[in-house]
Amino acid sequence: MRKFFAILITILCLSADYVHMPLMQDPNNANTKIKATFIYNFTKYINWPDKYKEGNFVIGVMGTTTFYNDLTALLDKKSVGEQKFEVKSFSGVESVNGMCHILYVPAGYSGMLPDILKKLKGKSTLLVTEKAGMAKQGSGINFVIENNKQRFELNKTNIEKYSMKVSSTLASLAISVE
Amino acid sequence: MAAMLLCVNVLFAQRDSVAKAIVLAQDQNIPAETRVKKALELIDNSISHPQSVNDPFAWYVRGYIYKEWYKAFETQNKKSKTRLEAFGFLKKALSLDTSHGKPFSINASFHYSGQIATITLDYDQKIIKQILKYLGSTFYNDAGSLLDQTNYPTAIEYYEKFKEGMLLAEPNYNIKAREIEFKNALATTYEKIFRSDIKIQSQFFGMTESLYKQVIALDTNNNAANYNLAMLYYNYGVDLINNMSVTEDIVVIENITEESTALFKKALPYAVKAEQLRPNNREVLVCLMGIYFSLYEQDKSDGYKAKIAMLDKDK
Repeated sequence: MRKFFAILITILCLSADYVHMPLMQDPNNANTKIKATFIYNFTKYINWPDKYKEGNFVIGVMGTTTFYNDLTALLDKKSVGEQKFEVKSFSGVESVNGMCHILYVPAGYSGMLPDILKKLKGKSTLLVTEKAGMAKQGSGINFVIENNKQRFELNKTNIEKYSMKVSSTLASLAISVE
Repeated sequence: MAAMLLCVNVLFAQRDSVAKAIVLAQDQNIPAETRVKKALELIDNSISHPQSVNDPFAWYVRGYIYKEWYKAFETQNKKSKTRLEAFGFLKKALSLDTSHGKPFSINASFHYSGQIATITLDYDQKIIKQILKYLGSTFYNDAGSLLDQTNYPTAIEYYEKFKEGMLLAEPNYNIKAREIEFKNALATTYEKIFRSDIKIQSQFFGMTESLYKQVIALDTNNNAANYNLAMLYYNYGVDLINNMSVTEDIVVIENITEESTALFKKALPYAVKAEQLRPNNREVLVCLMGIYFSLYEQDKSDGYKAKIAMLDKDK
């Protein structure tokens, strides 16, 4: 009696080149979120004069950038104390009107800064910019990148001359500019 | 392919029932279920015999019959206990084997189909190794199909069985390619678990990272591990920011941005390596565009954006 058995050895490849494609997160949203979160915090660490503590808390954004839409969405249903956030878009300097607690000037609109300063003279509007050198040219807070990280410069003089008070916590986290 | 020859010839009393079990298991005149079942019962009884307990041949036969049972009835059962037992019995046979690889003959005589059968069985360690390789390959294949968020512990166990079986059978077996393949696949499974809830399943981040790094240590040019590791870091960095509440305190924001920036920086060299390995791969270019954007290196990010646009235009 002769018996045989055969063994077939087949090793399946899990994949020839196992590259899976994870869903890539959108970096735009993350960068916007960081700025929006900073802006929200500015409302906590800067004190506006009493007459600015009524009505909505208005944040103006120069231009019709996506930042306006994103900020509107992120601050939806949020408030500063009793004041609800209201995000407004301004197409140009001439359209900046009414009470505005914060005015955000994107980099592309930085050239308008001198005119904006003239327009806002005497008003307690915190100017927030995002271009190198702006804090020395009149803005109160200027977003900058340092070591690949979002940071902000703070010019205390430019803020306090418009009757706003800056908390020491905010000042300690900022890059101080005179 | 390997073959084992069983020659009916001579008597060898102590191993009668063991020999009968293997003859029974291979008797094509009896339906598979009956013969393998009877063979299995016979060998299970025989193995307790004092002369069988330390007999490599008896353990080999037991492993062989259990393997036959697995092959006949349980190949679709990814969690087959019989296969695990077969594997264990064959390992035991090898551990008791003192043949140093030299085949030898075993004689036996027993009542079979109303007659006295006398047989010579050729024992060869190579056959045990062949079966271990066969079982190893089935473990590997099932490990691959069990790599999901629920069954991954079994997949790991089976992969270890595969490795053990292959290296027992062939000590010089080049396991590297399989190591890379399995670790990459397991890392992907861990990453899915991590991404299902990055807070609750946070330990899977480190486990995924570790596996991709192990693959890169084995093969620095492994495209999958380089790309996937870059994406793991990058996505986690973005997740940290996206999961942050807009009302979070400024001190917390500082910490989160610090952590996410560190992750983007960690992602970069792996993404750069992935680009070197696959220069015009769209996914890799998109990954680099995102990393540079997140590191606020706008010029570089725009450069990749332009490359992607060119690629899309060419299509």
